[in-house]
Formats: sequence, C-alpha cells, structure tokens
Amino acid sequence: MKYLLTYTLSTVLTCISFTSLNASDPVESDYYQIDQIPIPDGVVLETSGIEMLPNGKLAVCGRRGNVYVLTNPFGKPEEVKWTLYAEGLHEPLNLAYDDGWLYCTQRGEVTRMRDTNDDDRADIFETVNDGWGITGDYHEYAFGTRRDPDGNMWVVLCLTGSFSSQIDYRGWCVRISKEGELIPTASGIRSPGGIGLNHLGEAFYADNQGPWNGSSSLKHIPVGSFQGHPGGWRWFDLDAVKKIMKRPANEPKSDSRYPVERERVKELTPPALVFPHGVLGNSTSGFAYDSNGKFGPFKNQLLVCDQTFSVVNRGFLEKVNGVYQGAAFSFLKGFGSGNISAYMHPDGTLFIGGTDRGWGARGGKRFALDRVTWKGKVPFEIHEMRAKSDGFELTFTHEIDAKTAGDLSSYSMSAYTYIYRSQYGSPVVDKLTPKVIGAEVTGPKSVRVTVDKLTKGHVHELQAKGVRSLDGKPILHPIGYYTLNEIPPAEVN
Amino acid sequence: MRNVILLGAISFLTSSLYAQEEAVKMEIRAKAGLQFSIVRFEAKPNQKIHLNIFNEDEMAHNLVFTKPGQRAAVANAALNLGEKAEEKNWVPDLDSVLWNTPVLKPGEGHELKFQAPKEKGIYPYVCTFIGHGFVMYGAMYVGTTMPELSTDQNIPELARNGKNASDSSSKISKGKIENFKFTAYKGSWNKLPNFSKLKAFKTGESNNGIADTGLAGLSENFGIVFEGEIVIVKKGKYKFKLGSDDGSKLYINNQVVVDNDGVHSMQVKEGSILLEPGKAKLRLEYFEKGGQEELALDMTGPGINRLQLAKQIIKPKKPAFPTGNPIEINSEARIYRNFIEGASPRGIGVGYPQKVNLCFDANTMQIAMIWHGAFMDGAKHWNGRGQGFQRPSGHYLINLNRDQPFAQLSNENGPWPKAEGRDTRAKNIRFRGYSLIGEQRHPVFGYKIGKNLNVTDYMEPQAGSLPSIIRNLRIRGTGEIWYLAASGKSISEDNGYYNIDNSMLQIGFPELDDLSPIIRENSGREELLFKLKIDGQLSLKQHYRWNVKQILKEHTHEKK
Repeated sequence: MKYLLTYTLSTVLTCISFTSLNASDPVESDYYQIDQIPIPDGVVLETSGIEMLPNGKLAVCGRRGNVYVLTNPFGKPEEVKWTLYAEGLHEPLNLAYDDGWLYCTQRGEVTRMRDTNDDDRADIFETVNDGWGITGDYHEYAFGTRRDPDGNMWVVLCLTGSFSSQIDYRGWCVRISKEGELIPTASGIRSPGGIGLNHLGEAFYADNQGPWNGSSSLKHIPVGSFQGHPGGWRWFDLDAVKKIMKRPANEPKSDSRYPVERERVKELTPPALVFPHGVLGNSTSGFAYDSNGKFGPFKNQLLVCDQTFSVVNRGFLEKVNGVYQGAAFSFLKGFGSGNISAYMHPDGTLFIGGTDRGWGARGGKRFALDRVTWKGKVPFEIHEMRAKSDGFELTFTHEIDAKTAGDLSSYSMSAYTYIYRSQYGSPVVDKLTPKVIGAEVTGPKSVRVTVDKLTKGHVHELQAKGVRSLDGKPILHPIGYYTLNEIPPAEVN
Repeated sequence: MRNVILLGAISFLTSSLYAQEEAVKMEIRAKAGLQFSIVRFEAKPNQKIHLNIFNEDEMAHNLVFTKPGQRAAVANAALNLGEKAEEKNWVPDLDSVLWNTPVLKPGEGHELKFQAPKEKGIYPYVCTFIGHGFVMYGAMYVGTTMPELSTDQNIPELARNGKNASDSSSKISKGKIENFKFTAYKGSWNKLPNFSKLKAFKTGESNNGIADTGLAGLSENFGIVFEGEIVIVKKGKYKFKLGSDDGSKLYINNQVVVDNDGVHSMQVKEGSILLEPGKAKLRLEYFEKGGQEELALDMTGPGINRLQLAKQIIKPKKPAFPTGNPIEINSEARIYRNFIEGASPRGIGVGYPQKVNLCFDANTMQIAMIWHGAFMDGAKHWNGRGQGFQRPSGHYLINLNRDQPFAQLSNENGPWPKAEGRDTRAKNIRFRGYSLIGEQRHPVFGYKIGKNLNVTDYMEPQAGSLPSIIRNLRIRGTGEIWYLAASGKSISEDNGYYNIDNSMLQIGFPELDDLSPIIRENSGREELLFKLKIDGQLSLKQHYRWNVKQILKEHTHEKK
C-alpha cells in the first residue's frame, strides 16, 4: 500500500513537471539575461537609487547613506570599477541627475551634490528643500523622482508608522519646484515603496499592503488627489495647504469598497495596478520603463519591482473614463536581493538594485545590484490587455494560433477585490468567476475576450493558458491581473 | 627555599654579565578599557630596556615609570597639575618619576629606552593622563621574581583575574550534579521557608544532574530543593554565581555560599568557598511566588572555566547601545546623518581625525553635542528596520543646549526662541547644506537668516591630548542679530573662559576684537549673548573645550 502510494505520487509529480516545464517550453532566461554586478568586498550597498551620469558612469546609492560611481557599468560585471562618491547621507532612496547636480531624497530633505574639484567625490551637499517633518520613526521614508516636464520633483512621504501622521506632511505627496519650493500635492499616502514618472511625465507611486491598502499596488498621483489613507489629513489645516487645496468634503468609511467610497470621496484615486498580495508580490517598490523599444516589445510599459519576491513585474496601463487602470503580469524573477530601485538606460539596459533589510526577500542576498539585458528575441507574451465594455482585448507579442486563441476553453477568469478599510491589509473578498463567453480573433496578434459579467473595482484575473503562438509556443506568463476601476462604454461602431 | 635564592643569585650574576648584550625588547599597547597590553615583566638590574609604547585606544594615554611604591603618589600629583598638565604631558615634576613617554594621542607610538635600575625592586608604570592612574598600570620586576598572576597586587585587578579584554568569560560547558535528587513543595512565601518542616508534594531523581525548576511542574507558589554532589579535582577556591527569580540559596558542604533570597526578578549574586579534592555536598534551595521563573548556577575554579549547573545560563549584560558597525575615522572627517540621541531627527554627526566629534543639528543650526574618541556606531540603524536614535560612541560626551544660535530679539530682555519638541525648526533660519573642505574634508555648514544674512559655520577640530573645537562663524549681509553663545543654569568666568553649569563644557572667544559678550538672566537661565551688527561681513570664533577639573570630577577612573 505504501509502495503504491509512493508510486502514484511520483507519477503525478512527473506529469505535473511535464506539463508545466516542457523541455522545449520557453523560459524567461531565453529572452533576458540577468547579471549580478559584484559589489566589492567591504562595500555594503543596499541599493536604493540608480542614475546615469552624463559621463557614462552609473551612480548608485544605498540605505546606509553611501553613493558610489561605477565606471564601465555596461562592461563585464567583474570589471565594473567602484568609487565612493559620497557618504553619510540619511537613508537616500533615489538619485536623479539634473544640470550638473546629482539629486537625492534623504529622509529629511531633497539634497543636491556635486564634485567641484574633480577628485570624483562630492564636496557640496546643498539642501534643496527640507520643508517636511520627521520625528525619528523608522517608517518615515521619503522617496523622490527626477524632474517632471514642469521641472518639479515629486516626493512621497511615509506616515509616522502605519496609521498616523505626527508631523508635517507625513502621508503626503509634495512637489519640489525648480526654485526649491515645496508644493503640497496629494494626501492619502501610507507607506510608499517607490515613486517615478511614466513616459508622459505623470507620477505613479507604489503603496504597500496595510491600513486602507488591501494589497500592494501602483497608484497614479493626480494633483489634489487623495490616495486612500486619511491618516495625514490634519495637514489640510496648514496655511500652505489651505492656500491651494481643500480638505475633501467626505472622509472615507472603513470596511467599504473602492467604487463605493469613490462615489462619496470625489478626490479618492483608486490603485491603477493592484499586485495581488502573495501572488505577484508582497511589497511593490520602484519602477522603470523602456522609452524606445530597446528592451524588447514592452515600450513605455512599467517594469515594477517587488522587494519581498525579488522580482520585476510588468504593468500595462490605460486611461478609462479619465482614470488610470490596467493589467499586471509576471515578468522576471531571479534577482539577488529585495528589489527596490530600478533604472532603465536609453540603450535598453535595466539596472535593478535592492536589499532585504527589515522585511526579508526571496533573493537571498543582503543587498545586490543586478543588470538585465534583452537578448533580442521576443518572448510570446500578452502585450496589452485593454478593458472593453464586455470583456478584454488582448494583443500579443507574436502572431497567434487562431485555433487555440479562438477556443473558449483556452481561457478562464476569476474576479475578486479587497476590503477598503482602516485595518491592516485585507483578505481577498467578493470572489466571482465571470464566464468567458466569447473569444474572437480580431487580428493576427489580437483576441477579443468577452465575459458574462464585469465588476467595477475588481481585479479580473484572466488565464490564457491554452493560447499558442503561430509556431505553437505557450504564453510565457499567461495570466493578466486587470484592475478594473472603470468599465469603458460600449463602442459605437 | 634555599634553591630559589640560589637560582636567583645565579641569574643575577649571569644577567649582569650579559647586561650589555641582551635587552628586554617589547611592545606595550594602550588598549581600550584603560588597560596596558602587558601588565608586568621581568628585568635584570642594569639591563637595557627597549619599549615600544603604542596607543591603540581612542583616547590619549602616557606611560610613566616610577620608583617603587610611588605609583599612586605620582598619579595623584598629575591630577594636580591643573592648567599645566597639557604642556607637561601629565607628568609631575617629582624625583619619583623615572622615565616617561609624552602623552600619546590615538594611533601614536613612542620608543622608550633606558637601563633598568641597579637596585632590585618592583617598579610601577602607570598612565597618569586625566585620572587613568587608578586602573591603568603595571609593574616591572627588577631582579625580583614575579608572583603568581592571580595573587599579584602590583597589577590591576582585571589583569589579576586573567580578564583581558579579549578573554571573554562566555565559554561555558555543561556540568553535572552527581547523585542528583530534588524535592518540591507547594506554598506561597516571600522568603525561602524552612523546607525541612514542610511536606513535599513531589520528589525525584535525574540523570542529567542539572537543577531545573521545571521539575516541580508548577509555575507559581512552589519551592524546590536540589541536592547532590560536585566532583572537585583540584584544591582551591571555587566561585559560584547564582541567579534566580524569585529567591534562592546555595549551600556547599552545609555552608551558605550564596544567599540570593527574597522575591525579585532575575538577580545574580556570587560567593566562593575553599574546597578539597573529592566530593562536595551541594544543596540549592529555590522558591517562586509569581511571574517568571529562572534559576541559573555557574561554577568556576582551578582548571574550570565556567560550568553550568542549572537549566538557565547567566547571560552577559547587554551593551548599553547596539554596536558592531563602528564608523571609523582615519585621515578624513566622516559624516553620519541619522537619528542621533541628543539631537533632533536632523542630526548631522561629524567625526574628525583629531578624535573629537560633534553633532550639528540642522533643525536649529546649533551644535547639539561634542564628544571625544570613537565617533558613531551604525548598528542601530543598519540592522533590521533601524528604529530609534543611536547615541554617540566615545567618551566625555557634552550635550549642549540646542536652541538656535541666531535670533532677532524685540529688545534686550526678549526671550530666546527655544528648541522644544523633537522636530522644532529654527525660526526664520533655513538650512542650506554643507560643503567639505581641505584635505581632511571638514564640513562647513551654511544657513540663511531671514532674507539678508548668510552664515557659514565651520568647526575646526583642535588636536591635542584633550582635543577641542573652534567654531568659526562668518555672517555676510546687512542687519542686526543676536548670537547665543551658551546658556545654562549658571555661567561663570574662569581664566578667560566660561564654565557652563558645572559641566565639562568650557567656552571661550579667542579673537573677540571689539565685541563683548553679555550675560543675562532670562527665562530662568543664564545666557551668554552677543549683539551683532553686520554690515558686509562679521566673523566670530568660539572655542569649545573640555574642563579638566570637571572631567576629573565626573570621570576619575577610580575603582568603585
């Protein structure tokens, strides 16, 4: 009996491994190569910011407050030369080069530094703006961006802890103008993991699962918006805020849902991309994007880090009824540590850095700097997943096999959401299984999938495991997680 | 006995014969924790001695040889040198001083060459720098045999116990109580009861021979007595450390060796007893009233490092603050911007190669702290999530008043704006950052007062055995402003300097030109102010130094 059981089990295991990993099935490393750039002995670089300098060198900063400049960052990893550029900064979480200066956001200020005597080390550290408060709580992180098209740098400020804001602008997004003035911009921030600009110069930031955040997500920050956590609303009473912004007329109610509270709190901006907790990641952080297609077929899509999972996910975004939403996909795994910072060079080289300190990460290393290059082959992936009034339109990176792509059984869908509440996180709730009722091949690379029901506010998880490319390959990452904040109106034609 | 004398005589003869050829050559290092690496050595009369004295500690030291029996007298005389101590290298003008090094700053060395005296005797050597003489010393045995280390009264107690910094007592091995049995009782007491009059509810034996309060099977209101024997191999003094929560008492051979009775949280007491080879009878009584139960018993003695006889172990005391990531200063100043205890959340620590450090508070633009020696340790902030404020490493820490240095006052009696609360910003002053200048990359801080005045604030470390700091303030622009040089309960003049609050802090103004300080009483404290009229540019130098008398008062390294 025991023997039989073992035998059966091993047969099952063999079958599973055959279906999931056929020897000829493509894997991520067929398309992208991840090189770990060795960090020199004695250097602890908990990589939190990455930026290219005009001289072709790469600047990297770490949570211990150090900044290194890497010579030959595109060369053989072991031949990259490291030089200490600055140290003693207060946990800087980004780097941005502009007009002869290297900017960084420290816990207490935006700082710019430069080397004035050509010894390759910064010797001026200018305070650009330090207009927000800090009490000394470890949560009080500050993340910043490069300049947006108007010349502003966006800064998101974590609350004091998870729930409250004990000092000016904790739980807010502010912009620092070219003149160094602080412009209060958005409330509702909880615990950011990163912030950046998309190809249009619009700001998005990652917020992490916790109070008022059922799952980690990436959120768009319209000026004047409310990002979900009311812990920092007391700063609407500051004169500087009163001058330009109004406290929302209604406060969000706990134990509700996003669509319901959006009706009541007009300023509430829903997450553009939910990264389902425990599925795509646990801790969304920094992102980058490829602006010119040199990194493969995903031009302008957001490549979003997750610290805990040590992965990079991919996000396709679209605006529906004026609100950002879109689909998240798995993209790349196998990074050295907990990814928190990302930089995409215009030549299509992606640098990813991170650390597992404080939260742990699957990568295994305490800290790391990785470099990703595209091998030139296009993986078979769902390129875009657009919401339609009655389902989704999928476009693929390769031509599709019409038979499998048009077969209803190639698809399955589930839909679910999270409670919008003041408590920490949320279970997955309101689970539904929309029925796929149509799969119409609309072009050599596109399919229109229709379902019997779409639910506003739900993540719609579409599995397209049966779809094959024209040359018979399965989709490398066949699941799209679409955050459906808005259902688009039916097309007239 | 006769043999020994004879041997001594022979060695004396041979040594004087070869005195010209052979020299005692060794290195003595001044180590952290006020210790010399070598606490005693032998020499022959007239023998040449070549000593390399190296200071590997973070504070200054010297090394002074004295005539026999004069160690304490010389160390005390050094403390009375007053203002002259510095120039005299902390060495008093006494005939009893034989040879000495200058004061050696951290990382400095000195070669000391001399010929041992022709008179046999025990010649002490001692660090006479600022109160170290009470614990930092050793002895040169000239023509005299050294006694057994543990009985040598001419070396510090720490060394006598064989406890150099590197020798941790953490090595522990499991011991065993032979013929082990236990008897457990129920009851609620505030002191150990007379167990012989009580009725046991549980008795038993155990092969592992470890006293474990869990054998009673209760978590409160119980007592337990452990009995058995311990095997003694060597004759000698055995030390027992007994820790318990609540009370306990240890008997060896029917004598009370450690009495740790009463209701209390984990508390360690120790005692010792002379034991003969063979078996010694052990009786350990313990009771628990409520709360946590803990019982730990360690034994040390001849040939035994540390033997554990009870379930729990006596944990070493935790360091007062996390360590393990020291930020070491070499040839350049280093900056540590983080949450530093004693400053606001915008503290900027600066460690200088001169072994003096400061924390500039970028909230108030004030120097929040100055201290000597080691700079900062990143351990608190660089491990885990890094919650909390890390306190400065090093020594002679002075916390200064963090009130903003510059302010507009409505009149001479207007109150000074106070730095209250954690993140209070200076009124009407904006921090501009800093630049690093010179080979040592010293930071120069910049800030702007109102719209018209720009300040550069440059702290210049002053090297020395007691390093100090000169603050160079340069204000550019046009306007009138008050400068608060110091404040405290009391400010008193002392030879051209000012003592603040009987603290270690002394301030002075090396180049005042036509400025004169005003001392006023305001808001229940004394303030030392300058009224500054700036038309173009104005400079002010302020010296922050340590008051030797106060260091001695607060830090005489006397045995307690």
